[in-house]
This record gives sequence, C-alpha cells and structure tokens, in this order.
Amino acid sequence: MKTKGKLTFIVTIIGAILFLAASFLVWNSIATYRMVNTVTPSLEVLRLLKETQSRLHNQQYNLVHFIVSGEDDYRKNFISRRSLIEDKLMELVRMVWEQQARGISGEDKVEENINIVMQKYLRYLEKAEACIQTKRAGRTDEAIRNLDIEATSYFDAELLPVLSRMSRDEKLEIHEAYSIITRRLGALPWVAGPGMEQVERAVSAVDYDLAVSNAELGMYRQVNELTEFLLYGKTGEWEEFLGYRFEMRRLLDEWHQTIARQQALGMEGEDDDEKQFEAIRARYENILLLMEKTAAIRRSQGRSAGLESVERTLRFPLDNVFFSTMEVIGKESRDEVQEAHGALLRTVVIGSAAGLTGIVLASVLVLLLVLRMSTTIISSLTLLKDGTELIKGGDLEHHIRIAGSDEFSELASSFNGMADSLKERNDELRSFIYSIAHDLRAPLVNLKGFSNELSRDLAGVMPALLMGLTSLNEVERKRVAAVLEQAIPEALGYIDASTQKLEALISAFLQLSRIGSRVLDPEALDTEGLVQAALRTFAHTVKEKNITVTVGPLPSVVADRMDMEQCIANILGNAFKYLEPGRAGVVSITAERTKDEAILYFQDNGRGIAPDDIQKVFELFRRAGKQDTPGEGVGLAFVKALARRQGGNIWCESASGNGTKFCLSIPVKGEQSI
Amino acid sequence: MEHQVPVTILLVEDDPGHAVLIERNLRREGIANNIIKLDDGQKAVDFLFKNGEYSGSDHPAPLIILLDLNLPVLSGYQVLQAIKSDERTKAIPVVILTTTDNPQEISRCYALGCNVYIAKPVEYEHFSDAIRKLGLFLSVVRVPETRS
Repeated sequence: MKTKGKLTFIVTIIGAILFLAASFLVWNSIATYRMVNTVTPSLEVLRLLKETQSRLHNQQYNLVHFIVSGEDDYRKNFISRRSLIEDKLMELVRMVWEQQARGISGEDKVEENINIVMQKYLRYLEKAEACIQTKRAGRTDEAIRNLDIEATSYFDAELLPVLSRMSRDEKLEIHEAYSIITRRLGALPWVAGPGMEQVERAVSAVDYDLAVSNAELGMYRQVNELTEFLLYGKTGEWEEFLGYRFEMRRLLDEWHQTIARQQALGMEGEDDDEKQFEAIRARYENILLLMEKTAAIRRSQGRSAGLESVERTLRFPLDNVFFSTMEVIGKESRDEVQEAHGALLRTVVIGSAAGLTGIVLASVLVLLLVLRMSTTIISSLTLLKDGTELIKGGDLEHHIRIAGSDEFSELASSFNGMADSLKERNDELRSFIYSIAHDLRAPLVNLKGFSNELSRDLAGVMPALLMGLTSLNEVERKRVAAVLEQAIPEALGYIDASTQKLEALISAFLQLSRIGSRVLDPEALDTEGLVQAALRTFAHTVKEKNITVTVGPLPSVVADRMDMEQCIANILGNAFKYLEPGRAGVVSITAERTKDEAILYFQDNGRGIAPDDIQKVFELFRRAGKQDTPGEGVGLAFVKALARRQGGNIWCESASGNGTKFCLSIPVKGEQSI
Repeated sequence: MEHQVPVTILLVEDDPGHAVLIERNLRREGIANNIIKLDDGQKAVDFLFKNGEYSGSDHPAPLIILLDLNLPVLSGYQVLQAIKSDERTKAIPVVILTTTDNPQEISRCYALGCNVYIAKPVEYEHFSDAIRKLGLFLSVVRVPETRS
C-alpha cells in the first residue's frame, strides 16, 4: 500500500481509536459523576443520624431530670424533643424513598433500619411516658427504678446501637464510594490529579465531621454515665464513668488526627480548627474535673443518699458552652463536607467536559483530515475519469497527470502506459492495413490495365480476324466468331467487373480502417445547416428522381463535424438510392431531444427493409433486398462505427415496401439550445 | 517555333506490368522520347550521380523523372530526397506516380520537393487518361539543361 492508502488507513485507525476512547471516557465520566452524586445523600443521612442521636440524648437527659426533680420544664422539653426527633426520622425516610425512586440500590437496608429505629423509639417513648406518669402520680422511687430498668436500659441497649450501626454503615459506604471514585478518576488522566486530591479532601472532611460528632455524642454519653452513677450510686457505674475518660480522650485524639490530616493536605482554615479543638479539649478537661468532683461527692454519700442530695449533685454545672460550641463546630464541619464534596463534583464535571471537548476537537480534526483526503481522492478520480474519457474518444496521446507517488499517480501512469501501448498497437495495425491495401492495389492496376489492353488489342485485330474467318467453313466460322465476339469479351467483362469490385472493397476497407485514426474534435454543430449542405450535394439526384425533402427543426449538437457529415451523407444517400419504383420519393428529416441524447430521424417512403435484413444492412460488405443499384454495402457499417465513436448509435425501423426510418442518436451533456 | 531539345524520360518503376502500361499509354499519346526504365531506387541514384554500375557512363540529355514511391533497395522518398538535395540534380522535374492517394503522403512528397504527384488509379480509363495528360504536359514542359 502506498502513501495515500497507508495514510487513509492510519487516519481511519486513529479515528476509530479516538471514538473508542471517547466512548469509554464518556461512560467513565458519567459513572464517576453519578457515583459522586450518590455520596451526597449518604452525607445527608449521616448528618440526620447525628442530629437524631444528639436530640435523643437531650430528650433522655430531660427525662431523667424530670423524674428526679419533677420540674415541669424538663417534661415540656422532653415532649418538644419528640416532635423534633420524629421530624428527623421522617426526613430520613423521605430521603430513602427518593434514593429508591432514583434507582439507587442498597437503600432497602437503610429503610429497614429506619423502621426498626422508629419502632424502638416508640417503645422507648412508651416506657418514658410510663415513667413520667408514675412520677406524676407521686411514686418517685418507683419512677426512678423504672427509669433505670425500662427506659434508660432500653435507650442504651436497643435504641442507640441501631443508630450507631447505621452511622457506621453509612460511613463505610461513603468511604467505599470515594475509593471507587478514586479508581475511576485514575482512568481520566487529566482529571486524576486534581480529582483525587479533591476526593482526599472530601474524605478527610467527612472524617473530621464524623470525629466532631463522635466527640459530641461521647460527651453526651459520659454525662449520662455520670447521671446514672449519681442516680443509683452503683459501683459498676462509677467504674464505667471513669473508664469513659479514656473513651473521650480517644475520641478527642481522633478528632485531632483528622485536623492534622487536613493540615497535611494543605486545606485552609485548619489553624482555626486547631484552635477550636484545643479550646474544646481544655474545656473538656475542666468539665471532667468537675464531673469527677461531683462523682466523688456522690460516692462519699454512698447508696443511702437521699433524693435531695442526688438532685443536688445532678445539678452539677453542665457546661452549656461546651455543647453550643460543639454545635457550632458541628455545623461548620458539615459545611466543610458540603464544600469539599461540591468541589469534587465540580472538578469531575469540569474535567470530564474538558476531556470530552478535547476529544470532540480531535475527532473534528480527524474528520476534516479525512474529508480533505476524500476530496483529494475524488479530484484524483475525476482527473482519471476525464483522462480516460479523452483517451476513449480517440486521443491516445493524452496523458493523465497526477502528481505525487501514491496509488493514484501509479494508476494514472498505468493508464498512460495503456494508452501508449494502445496507440502503438493502433499505429502498427494502421500501417499494417495501409501497407496491405497499398500492396493489394499495385497488382490491381496491372489486372485492370492489361485486361483493358487485351480488350483494346482484341478490338484492334478484330477486323483482320473477322476477315480471316471467311476462309473457314460455316461451322468453324460460327465457332470462332462466337469465341471472338462473345466468349472473350464476356470473359474480359467479368474480369473487369471483379477487379472493379476488388478495388471498391479495398477502398472501403481502407476508409473504414482510417476511422479510428483521426482524433475526435467535438464542436457545436448547426445540425440543420449540415443537413442542408448534404442535401445540396445530392441536389442533382433529388431533382432528377423528383424527391420531396422536408427538414424539421433540428437541435444543435456537440459532435465531430466530419463524422456527422459522413453519417448524414451516407444515410441520405441510401434514402435517395433505395426508392420504391413507381412511387415518388418523400424523405423527411426530424429530430427529438431527450435528457441525455438528440435523435435524428430520417424517414423515407422507399422500398423498405425486411425485418430479417435489418441487422444485415449494418454489417460490413452486406446488402439487403434487390441488388439493382450500385453499392458496396459499406455505407451503414461506416455510420454505425462513426456513431459509436461519438458515443451514440444508429438503428432502423422498417418493413418491406413500407419505407424506412433511420434513427441516429448523439449523446448530449447539459443544456443545449433547440 | 523554338527548337526544343528532346527530353529523356527516366521511369523508375519496379512493377514490370506498370512499367509496360505507362510506356504504352505514353506512346499512345504520341510521346516519342527516349524512355529509360530502371526498377530499383539504388539504380536510379547511381544512374543520376554516375555511381556504381553507371560510373563513367554518359549522362543523357535533359531529364524528367517519373518516380514510383514503392521501390526496392532505396525507396522513392530516398531517391526524391537525394535528387532534391544535390545541386546537380535538384532542378530536374520529378513526377511522383504511385498507387497511394493518402493526403499525408502527398503533402510529404511536395514537402520533399516533388513537382507533380499523380495517383495511379485502378480505374484503367482514368489511368490512361492521367498518363496521356502527363504526356501532354511532358510535351509542353520546358526542362532546364542538366549540368554534366
């Protein structure tokens, strides 16, 4: 394969590769985008769970304090927290339904869990209500006992764990989603760098947010642990409370680690976060001291402490600043998550768009290249076509010129070589025919000449011979006379006629062979004018035989002048020659113009041609019908050859005794004027 | 009437039959000039330039050449070329008498410098007619003296 073919091949392959790459990238980008999008609701779920948990802790706190102190404010708070929590849970359910409607899988489990939570929460509320009623009925001790056995333990053992589990699951899902995204981004090279960075930031933001809420919840739990100890004074609870210090400190450390990670990633605002953290940690240590002191006091009171003293210890100054600060931090961390996630989404979208644009541009370029190559190919093909048309028309010397060294230029030179060898062959043939005809002619001259001389000489001696005959007897005289006066002249006559025929044949043969030698010179011809000119050459014949000729309007055509003149002359000659004896000749010449050709009709009312002979008249040296007029049988063969050369044709419609119509068609291109 | 020196006719024709026919027709027209018959191109050239077998022979009186184109050894063209390119012979009138009537051939011969071109028609009447006319032409043409 040469240059052009190879190039086209390469470009096509590149085009195909680009297309495949584009398809893959589009699919990948869409998948990544969708993945990033599914993380968003998970983050929402996490937030809702967090908020539900803290509200629950708050509700429990109010319950305990009401059971112990009986202050109605606590009861009212307890009740108001309920609608808040139920709202949160409804929000969760709605979110899950939305996800399911979008066809996102895995939400069934979440829905199941939410149902469990709702059931358990209702159970918890029942128990809590029961305790409240007991307290309002005045049976405080019973209330306190039931609180421990029913409400609190249910809260700790049944309700909270579900929520923590859900949070954990959600977090795992988010992490998993992010790692898939990271993998996907790997396949989008130009997005990978910034994309993965965004993912890391989003992950660290999520972790930070989670660490913050875990710390907050941890604080709640530790307060509850302390409350339980203060209420019931059990040793186990004292130890649990103490042990929870380590848990809290662990949670705070975790929180600190997330800040460190964010600082390592170069995220902004981490210094403020650090400051906030340090403040919280300091605050916690203070609270812890306070709680330990209160616990110590309670311990010293022992289990026999009365409700009043319990109540007093319960009123240990809970640092609301701690929780309100945590709320603020929590909100900030949530915003950070939103932002980091949003940044990731944007990066993916922009990156994909950029990549896709790049690929689209590349594809367009490839397309343009292919287009250009196609036009080059087409123009080469057109050159070839035009060139071969010219060669077909007889111009064997025309050479197709296509620059370059590709398949087309090779094809062109092949054609040129073909034309050259055709021309050579043609020339050889022609000189061959020529020399044959020439060589044939020379003996003909002798044949004719000496047969004539013979006649002449015979005529010269005839008188003397005839005189000499008188010396013979009657029979002998008659015999010799017959020979002299009939046989010999007859023989000479036949010899003469045959020689003449031979000459005519050779002449026709030569003429026919010369047809291909002249190069076609098409020009716009006034067909009517040509016909009139031809008629003028036949004027004598027309007048003598009293033939009526009508010429209709004839369209002008583009053809070779000499060929057309020859055709018209031959056809008209036939029309004027083969009249029906006894019928005055009428010849009409008309024409028809179709989209592709002009057809000239030569209609006469002569003797016609039998259907079987119609093919024969076009054959070389063949004639049809009565042979009472001179002719060699070459005229129509000529016309056929000439017409064919122009790209046209000749045919005839006729019947014996019914006149003949010859139809000569010439191809026309484009618009011609009538 | 001016005294004209009789012209010798050099007929270069390889076909004996044609040569006889031409001579007979010339004679029939009343041409009594001496006719020298040669049957190939080389002999014609040798004769004209007194070379080869003709070296040392006597150059005849004013000449007119009837030349066929289809000759053996040297073709009519070559003979014509030789005649017209030599100072000694280029003024001799040359009548091309040949079978071909191809227009290209005709103009080629005129380009080479022939004086008259006659195509030998097969139609005998025409042929003898043409020779007779040639005879007439020969009888009135004035031919320059050929230098020795």
